[in-house]
Amino acid sequence: MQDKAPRDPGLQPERTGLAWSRTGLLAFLAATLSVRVGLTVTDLAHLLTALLLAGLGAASLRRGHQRARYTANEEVVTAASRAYIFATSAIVVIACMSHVALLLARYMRTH
Amino acid sequence: MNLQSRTLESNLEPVKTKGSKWWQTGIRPDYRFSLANERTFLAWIRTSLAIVAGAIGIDQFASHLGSAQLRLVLSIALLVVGGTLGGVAYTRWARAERAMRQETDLPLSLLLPFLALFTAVLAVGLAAIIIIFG
Repeated sequence: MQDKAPRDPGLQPERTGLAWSRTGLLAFLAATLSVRVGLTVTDLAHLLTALLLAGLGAASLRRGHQRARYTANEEVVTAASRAYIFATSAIVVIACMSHVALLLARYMRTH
Repeated sequence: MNLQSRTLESNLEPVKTKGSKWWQTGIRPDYRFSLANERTFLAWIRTSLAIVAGAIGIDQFASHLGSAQLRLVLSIALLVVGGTLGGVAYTRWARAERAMRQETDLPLSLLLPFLALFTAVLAVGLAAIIIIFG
């Protein structure tokens, strides 16, 4: 049984892969919205934030693809997961901080 | 599949080598538990991204809502909460993963009541703004 790479009856790898894909699609949505903010106020920094979020989207979709093909014979290594999870978290925090800074900067300019 | 036997089988890693990082110590948890922990992390990240989308939505698509100052405050409040959730999502994942590796109790997270309170306050606040400003 072990040598045929048994599939998990609970479909955990597929579910985790789809969770990554959903997250990736939402990151693309956030990137698109950032592009819109960047276009209306012609701010390069917003477009860079959008690029960062789009990068997160692409990486998440890729990770989702990897995860969905995972088999129970492999081990989930905390260190490897941690790299992706830390990067994801960091990008979201950076995107939020840059949006706050840019909204404040725009308000200062116009008022 | 027997949960207990799988957990024991995968108990191959060295236990607590001194000076190594937490993600290298303890046992290797059942892969299904690690994947579940990862999905929970991703659910928090999606929540965070949705809040960020809401913040940009107020800034870009709600130009008649309240005043410019009010929209700024709302957007920044949403972005601060979104960023906090995104960051705390990592610590929540790490604490749970660490507890699984050390075979201790899963930590209690106050993230959920905080998010519920924030959402309720925000909904009431937005309703008030719409009623007052028309």
